[in-house]
This record gives sequence, structure tokens and C-alpha cells, in this order.
Amino acid sequence: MNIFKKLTPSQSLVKQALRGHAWMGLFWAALLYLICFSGALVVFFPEMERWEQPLADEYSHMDAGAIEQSLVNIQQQIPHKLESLYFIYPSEDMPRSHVSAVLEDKTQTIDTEWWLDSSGQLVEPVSAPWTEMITDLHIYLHLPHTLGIIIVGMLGAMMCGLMISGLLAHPNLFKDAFKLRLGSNRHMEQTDIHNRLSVWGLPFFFVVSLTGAYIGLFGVSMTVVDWMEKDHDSKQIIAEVFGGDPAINEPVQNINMTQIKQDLLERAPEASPIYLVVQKPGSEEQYVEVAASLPQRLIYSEIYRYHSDGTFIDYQHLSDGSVGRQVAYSSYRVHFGHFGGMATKILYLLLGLVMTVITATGVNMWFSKRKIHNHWSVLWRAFVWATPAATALAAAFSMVLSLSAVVVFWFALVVLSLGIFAFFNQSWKWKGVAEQNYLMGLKYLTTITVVFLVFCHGFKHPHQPWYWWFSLCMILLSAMPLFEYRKLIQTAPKTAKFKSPISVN
Amino acid sequence: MNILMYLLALLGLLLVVICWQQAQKLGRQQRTTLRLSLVVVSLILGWLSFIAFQENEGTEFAWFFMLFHFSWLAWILLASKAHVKFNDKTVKTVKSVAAEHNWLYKSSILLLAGPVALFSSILIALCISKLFIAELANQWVLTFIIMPIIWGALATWFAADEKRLRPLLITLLLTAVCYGWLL
Repeated sequence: MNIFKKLTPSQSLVKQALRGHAWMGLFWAALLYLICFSGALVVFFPEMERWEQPLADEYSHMDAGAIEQSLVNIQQQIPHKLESLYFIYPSEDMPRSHVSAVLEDKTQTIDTEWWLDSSGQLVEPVSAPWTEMITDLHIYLHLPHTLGIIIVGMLGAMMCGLMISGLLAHPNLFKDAFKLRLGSNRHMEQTDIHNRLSVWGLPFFFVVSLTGAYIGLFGVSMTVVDWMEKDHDSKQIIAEVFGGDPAINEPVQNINMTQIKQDLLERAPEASPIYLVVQKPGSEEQYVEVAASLPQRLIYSEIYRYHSDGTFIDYQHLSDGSVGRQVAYSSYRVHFGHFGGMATKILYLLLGLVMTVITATGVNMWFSKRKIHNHWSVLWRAFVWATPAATALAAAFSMVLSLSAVVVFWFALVVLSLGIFAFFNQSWKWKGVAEQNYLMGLKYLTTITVVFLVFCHGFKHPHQPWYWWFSLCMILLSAMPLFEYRKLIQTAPKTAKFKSPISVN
Repeated sequence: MNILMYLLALLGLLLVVICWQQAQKLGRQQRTTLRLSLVVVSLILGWLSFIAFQENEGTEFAWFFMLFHFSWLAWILLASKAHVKFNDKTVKTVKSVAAEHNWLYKSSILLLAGPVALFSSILIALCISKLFIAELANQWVLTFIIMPIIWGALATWFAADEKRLRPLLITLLLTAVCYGWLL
């Protein structure tokens, strides 16, 4: 008997899986869409931050003396007790460095993060409200952080569930693997797009959802540790998984960066430093951690620890510790696509955008199968296209008029989504404009806003070629939905009558 | 990074997808031997691609490149073979359909798929980890990794099964067993 037939789930299982898949998908669709959309963009967050706040002085290297100077400068700038002090090295993504301080008193609201020039002087506070808005949307959905990260983690878990039910609900997975029927029937078309994109992209979607859920639900799991584990508490488990902190007690002294740099170069010549942390600065417990990435390794970094005078303490064994530790510390790069250079980032952007298409077509399938055309169906379509428009408007209003990016985003998202009702309800119908035109208007609004923003923001930075290259990429990305992709695909040989095909949104 | 090696690896992956497509086409004509040989060729090509990625970027990255690059190559192949069939039929639509279940039923599913499934999934994941893994760090990392999968699967089961009692009873039984074992 054919092995595929043996593996095919029964009809009743398929029906049940489909039901569960539809329920879960519909219930979480809007939030999943926001997470996937923001996640696709967040892959480029260092570039977005650089674009949002261009600086004249960019460099790829900073000497040890300048780093020491920058640490002294930030401590003079912030006369409060500090928990830790971060120095972030210049990198290929962000060819400039910055310092940031973590205050012991979290209620203080002062600038704690500053860009540096190549000599280690503080240039200006880090301020990228739009990038922050998108990263916060992806990580916390703009909710209070503890609640937000749990909900986002939960959505990762739900996506894992959706993948399992999606596979069970798809008995012709292999038979239909190369089938794409466009145009003939809206339901069939949406189904084919949804299934082909999700089946072929499954490894990526699974890995990203799982790592997202793992990152988001870490706090919840830790709460359970405290409750269930008799022998260990959550702090001990964290120390066991990620490595514990050294106990230091020595007189306060200045940090000897030259010695640290020299030792690291001898100890791990292939390591390239990402950031440096001064723990408990100005106290007797002060010590330095240098996080450095290792070539061809997925772990975010190895962490090398030093006394203030540059004497080596130990390293955290993130690269050669237990398998669990290495896996846990690899989740960041795997989730955000920060490995393998620019090609991987572009791949992640593409696959992330495909996840948004899968979410959108999933809901479209549900409506088109039942042939429903009501307030909910048009609201969903408007929401899908209002999200990029609201993101672009948030960028424009925050960068040009200094308004809150979060407020503008949600205001625009709600108004533009609800705006479709003016074109849906016959009694309100405004100048006979159809819903399709409103949706097209939203796509144009996104592109026009991005073009406007690029030039308004760019007036301040006309001589920076990188700024204009990235701007061009942003314009092209925002204009992608305007392109009629069907023109690239052949028309079926027997075409009786020509009429505009059913739109895919 | 050697760009030529990278491109060769991608080409190998594209050929793998083409092999699968051809094998599927032949399957309809029942030409089993040729079909099997295409599958074997695809495996060899896949292995060569892996070697090329590995030479270029190391073993860890190579696995992920293999898994992730398949997607877009297959989509390009799909789009290149697809046809748009234009249709001028107007679809009759309806404003609403009868709801399958009332709000009470839906709320109960939400409760079961949310906190109940979360709690159960943590206990089940912890139990599985402790059962199979000895080292504490590995135990907890495995718990963190399998917990979302179990939660997602349980939530989908609660939403899928017409008989609400069946997943509920099995979940409660599993949770009780795990709780008892962990204590």
C-alpha cells in the first residue's frame, strides 16, 4: 500500500483539525498579524535606528582609550547610583558606538543612552521613537511589559498549535505541494496561496514561533520553577542555564581597557566584541564583562569576565558549556536572523512578510468559503492594509512633528480600519467609491507617506549616501503592494473573456 | 564568505526542489523506478548543498540555511509554473452565517485553551524533561522548548474537538499524573 495513504489522516481528524485551526486562527488573527508584520521589520532594527537618527561621525573602530573615556563621561553625565554600564561597540550594522546606564533607582526618567564620537565623547542622547515603537509592538504589543511579553509568548505557542493543526488539516500535503491555482475562484486561490506559502515555509515559521514563545514565556516558566522546584529557585536555575555571576570584593579602581583588549586578543583572537558591561560601577563589587561573537557560531556571544585592572576572571562557557546552555543562548540570533550577514536579514524580512500574507489569507479563506461579505470581512481587509499605512504615518508624525509614535500608530490604525465602513454601507457610501478603491488608497497612502518622510527627514542629512540607499529600500518595500504580481505569471491558455482578476489582499 | 559557494549551494537546493516536482509528476504516471531515482538524486544534491553551506558558514548556520532557503526557491518554482485563470463570474455573497456555538461555549474553550492548557503544558513539559534528561540546565531548556508546543497542541485540541469533555478529561488526567510524579 502507498505509504502516503497510510500517513494520511482520517476524514474526521481532518475535519476536527480544520475546525480547531480556523477557531484559533480567527481568534488571534489580528494580533498575529501585528506581531508578524512588526517582526518582519524588526529584523532591520539596527539599520532603522541608524536611519532614524543619522549622525555625521560614523566609524568602525574605537580604541581602548576612547572606550575608557566614554565610560568616565557617562558616569559624569549621570550622577546617580548605577546598577550597570553598557558600552556597545561599533558594528557593520551600526558603525558607531553608544553607552547606556542602568540606574538602580528605576523611577528616574533621564537620558541614560548616548551616542559617542570616535574619541569617546557623548554626542547626543539615543532617540529613535519610531524604531522603539515597532520593537515594542513586536515584543510587548505596546502593553505593560510583563503582560505584553507573556501575551506575545502565548501567541508564539498558539502559532505552534496552528502549525500542528494546519498539517493535520491538510491531507493532500504532498499531492498539492506544487499546485497554485490563481484567479479562477477566490476561495481556491486564497487556499492555495495560504497552503503553499505555509507548507514550504514551515521550518522557518516553526523555528521563529518556537523561539518567540520560548523568549516570551521564560518569565512564566520561572514562576512555575519557584512553585514546583523544591531544591532550586528561579535564580539558581537561571545561573545553571546561563552561568552565574562572580563574587568580587576589591578596592574601586578605573577600568583598564587596554589590558582587557590585549588579553581578549590573546585568549580568543577570532572573537569580535559586541558589547561591554561594567557591573556595579563605582562599588567594591565592580567587574567587567565583554560579550564577543564567535565565527560560525549561533550563540549570541561568549562572555569574558575581567577585574577592573584587566586581570581575567573566567568566561561563561556559553560556547562550550552544556547543550542546553548553547541552545538557550542561540535563540536570539535564530529568532531575529542576526547571522550570516545581510543575505539572511533579507531572507528573514521576506519570510516574515510571508507570515503576514499567511495570516491575512487564512482569515480571507474563512470568509470566502462561507461567501460572507459583511462588516467583519471588510474591517479585516481594511485592518490588513491600515497596518502598514499606520506604521508609515507613525514614522512621519514622530520624525517630522515629534508626536508620539505609539499614539499616532494606534490612532491611525483604528481610524483607517474603521474608515472602510464609509465605503461599505450603502446608505453612507461616499461618492460611490468602492471598497477596493479605499484599500488601494491605503496602499498609496503608505508609499506616499514613506516618500514624504524620506525627503523631509533627509533634508537634515543630504550628504549621507547610506541614508539615501536605505531610504530607497524603504520606498521600494512600501511600494511592493502596489505592484500587480499576476502580470509576472502566465495567463491560462483558454481565456474566453478578459476581466480584471479577483483581488488578493 | 565565498559568494560562489553560497550560490552553488542555492543552486543545489533549487535542483532538489525541481527533482521533487518531477518525481511528483512521474508519480501520476506510475513510473516508480524513475521517481525513486529522482528522490535519490535530490538527496545527493541536498547533501552537496549542505556541504557547500558548511564550508562557507560552518555547520550550525548550514542547517538553518538548508531549512530556510528551501522556502523561497520552492515559491519561485511554483510561481513560474502557475497560470492565472481569469474569471468573470460574480459570486453571490451573504451578510452572515448561523453561529456554530453560543458565547458560553466559546468562552469555555478560551478558558480551557488558555490558563488550563498553559498550566498543564508546563507540568507535562517538566515531567517529560525530568524523565528523559539528567542534567539540570538541559532539563530546563528542554522544558522551555517543548512547553509552547504542548500548549499550542492542547489549545488546538480544545478548539477542535466537538466533545469538550474528551480533551478536558485527558488533559486533567495527564496533569494530575505529572503533578503527582513531580511532587
